Amino acid sequence: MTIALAALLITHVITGIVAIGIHNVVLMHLLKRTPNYVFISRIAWSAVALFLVSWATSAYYYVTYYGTAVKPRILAGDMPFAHAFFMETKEHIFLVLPFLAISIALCTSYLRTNPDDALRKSTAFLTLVALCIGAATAAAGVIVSGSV
Amino acid sequence: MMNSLASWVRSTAIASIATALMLAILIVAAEESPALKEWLKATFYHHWLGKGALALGLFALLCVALSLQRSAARLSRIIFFEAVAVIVSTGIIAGFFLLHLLKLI
Repeated sequence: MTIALAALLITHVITGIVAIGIHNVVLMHLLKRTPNYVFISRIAWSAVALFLVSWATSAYYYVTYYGTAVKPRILAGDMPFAHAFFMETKEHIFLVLPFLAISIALCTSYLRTNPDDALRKSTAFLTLVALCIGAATAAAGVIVSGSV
Repeated sequence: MMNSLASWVRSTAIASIATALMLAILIVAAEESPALKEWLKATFYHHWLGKGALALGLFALLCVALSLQRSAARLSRIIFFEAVAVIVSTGIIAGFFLLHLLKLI
């Protein structure tokens, strides 16, 4: 692997993990009765930016390197299910995350000027779903990395 | 401004619902139909890039188109349905690859 690809992979992992962590913070604040929506919307939009960077960096690594250099080694190793299930699922459900992040950020921006308890609860539920998907993709990434 | 932002919240949520469900269908269809997967590869260089590009295109199109409409639907209800749609979509994707791994399909 070249230094550039390693840098892209590290960027993908770090930005993704930080974005997932931010969604955790957003969720914790949304569970309060009177959240600080200014703070929440700011970090929610930063999660959007981080997910988009994570998406772009992973795309380059996945398309140019993973399929030819990593996937064959996993399929020939002791844990072929790491690709057949975990990588296949991770690479596809990850496609949904940036759209969820945009939706969460827009909701928190709207709540800044229009506090609405029902919308706060729905947004918290949506953030919980995004957090679970993010945590699942991160865990799948650990399994894939450990199977090489 | 408030109404405009509400329109964007609503249109983005509906676009996310449609995109998540379209992705689930496209992913399963591409695995089951080699011709579709080959078309995605031939058109977008890689099938994963094709799925991402089609998802981005649909999301952007629906966001803009639906933001121009006015609706009395409650935002909290739409966001709840968005969360449910994403759960269904990821369930379909993960379930499909699990069944594939177990050679049940």
